[in-house]
Amino acid sequence: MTALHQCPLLASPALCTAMNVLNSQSTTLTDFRRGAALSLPLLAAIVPLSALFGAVAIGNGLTPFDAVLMSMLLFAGASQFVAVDLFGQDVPAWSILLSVLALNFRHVLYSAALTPVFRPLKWSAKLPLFALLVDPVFAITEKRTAEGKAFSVPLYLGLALSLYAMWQLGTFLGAVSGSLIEDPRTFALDMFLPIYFLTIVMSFRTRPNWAPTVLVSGLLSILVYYAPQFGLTFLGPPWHITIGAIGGIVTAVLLATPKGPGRSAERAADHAASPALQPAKCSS
Amino acid sequence: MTDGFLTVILVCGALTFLTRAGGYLILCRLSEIPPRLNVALEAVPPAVITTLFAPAVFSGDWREALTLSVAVALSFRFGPTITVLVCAAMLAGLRAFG
Repeated sequence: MTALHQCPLLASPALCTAMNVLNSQSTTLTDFRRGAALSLPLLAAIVPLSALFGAVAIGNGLTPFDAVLMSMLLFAGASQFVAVDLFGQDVPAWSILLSVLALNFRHVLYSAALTPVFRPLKWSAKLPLFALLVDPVFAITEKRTAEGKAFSVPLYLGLALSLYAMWQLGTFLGAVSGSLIEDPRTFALDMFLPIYFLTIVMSFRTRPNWAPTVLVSGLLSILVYYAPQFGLTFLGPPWHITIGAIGGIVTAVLLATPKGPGRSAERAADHAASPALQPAKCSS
Repeated sequence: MTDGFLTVILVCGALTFLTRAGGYLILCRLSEIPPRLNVALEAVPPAVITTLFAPAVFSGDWREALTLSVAVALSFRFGPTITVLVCAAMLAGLRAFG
């Protein structure tokens, strides 16, 4: 912005262009830094968790190289734990793949929910953004979009790449030290992530039908998670995520429909007003 | 490198990327998002993220359940960092002395 005001004062058009380039670069850098700053509250959750992953991987007979490679290629918390756990049990490879797919299937819903945000971007920008679309990145991006803030690729990358760096650092530290964290329970590290997820869910509490949605998915996930203890061995993790999430989403849809035509008309008006929901251009 | 693990990691990585791109690839082909689908998508974050912590309520004994209840109360007033640190310190204390 300042560059535009300064331009008339500059003698050469080349200098003016240089000023504008410099200005846009500094906006990029500022947004990247702001994104990175958004990741800082997560440091206390991400590094211990990934260090724990590194330690668990070593405990299951993997090398530190395996553990870090897995963190770099997957960058997916819970499914990495499940994959390493199953690998240690010497089960068929297809069941590891199926479990990872079931645990990560929620990401389909994430990129679907962020479609209006991603649509205007080039494919060369979209692909790395998809690869980095993990739970906290989705939660923060979704929340900023809902608050009406403009989407910024540098901010997204600042947030996501900081989390990626923390995840690799933690994995490396955990894998190399191996037995440094002898009992994660002593420092309540096992509860860091549940508490963090709880605060995220609480931050959505103003959304319509939030309470019934959360209650249904919470109850279903608990029932499915502990079902094997009551003889239902075909249930249990990771199905508590799939079944619990479907239950919560169905609840929200069922509660929204009885409001009928008024709401639909309102929605239709919203759609007409929103440029993000114009006919799709997948190739743009 | 552990034998056979590279293939598993590579396929897991590819599957994970497909799930992260998949929702977009399906949805960007629709001309507009139907209202019901929109309601469903708005319910996705609370519905999914709830399942990631709800079973933890019964993961231990009364200490874990109490800690998560305190976390609910704190999250009305404070952000994630303070809530996580206070609750983790409380649970560590409960486990050491309680």
